Amino acid sequence: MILVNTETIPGRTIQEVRGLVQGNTVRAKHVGRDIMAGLKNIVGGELRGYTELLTEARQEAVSRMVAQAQSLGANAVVNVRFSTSSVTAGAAELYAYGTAVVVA
Amino acid sequence: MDPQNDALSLLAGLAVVIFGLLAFLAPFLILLIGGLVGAAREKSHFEDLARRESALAGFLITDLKTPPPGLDFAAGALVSGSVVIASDHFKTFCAKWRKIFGGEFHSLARMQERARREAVLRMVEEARRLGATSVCNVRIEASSIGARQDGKVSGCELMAYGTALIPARG
Repeated sequence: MILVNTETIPGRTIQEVRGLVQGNTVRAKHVGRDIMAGLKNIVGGELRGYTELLTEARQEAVSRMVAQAQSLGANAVVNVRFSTSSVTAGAAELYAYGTAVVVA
Repeated sequence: MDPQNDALSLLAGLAVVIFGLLAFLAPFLILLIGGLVGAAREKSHFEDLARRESALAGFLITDLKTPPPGLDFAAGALVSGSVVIASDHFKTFCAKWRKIFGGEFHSLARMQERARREAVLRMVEEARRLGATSVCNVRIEASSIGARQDGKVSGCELMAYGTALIPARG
């Protein structure tokens, strides 16, 4: 599965467009991470636990999008976009969407 | 009253005074330590960013929708980088005061800059591992899983993504 966020794929031609595919996930921090983050807020710097959480959420959203593309018989997703929205305090949605295509 | 008892009560009194002083000073100490350690960490992070960015000289990063014209690329792949940076206690404290008067939040702008540069660097480093020489259509997205709680200023979460372009061989 080829993923790009451009409208075309370098070195490939799009033969067929299968339509919009999407994947989302809503993630929340857990208490342990929250306590560590609270301590980290005294001295500043990177919150690795949260970075991990963000990376995991992105991978999850992408893999759900890819699964949908596969079910449509596509072998690539072009024009991938990420979007975030905060659902409630401490939880956020990560949403990935793109156009499933068949490339040669 | 014997002298031993006297010394003991003096000691106890001294302990109470010291603990009281510590309890009174603790917020200021945390503020001071947070500010000093935070500033030192920020400085070393900026140095690290500058060093890694100079190592990427010649790597083309654009937010154009298509690959840069005139170059031949064989393949493309989605790459991304994310980072969550916390503000330190001193910055948060200053920001609270700043909110009364308004104006520019320099320290928070620096925090955002750090996070943005770090996210872009992580994205580019992923692209480099794939053998790419350029990243196009770069987008930067802010998230809010944990760091921004109930309007309190405590940090920023950024994600950068784009299409890594791998050059044609030969």
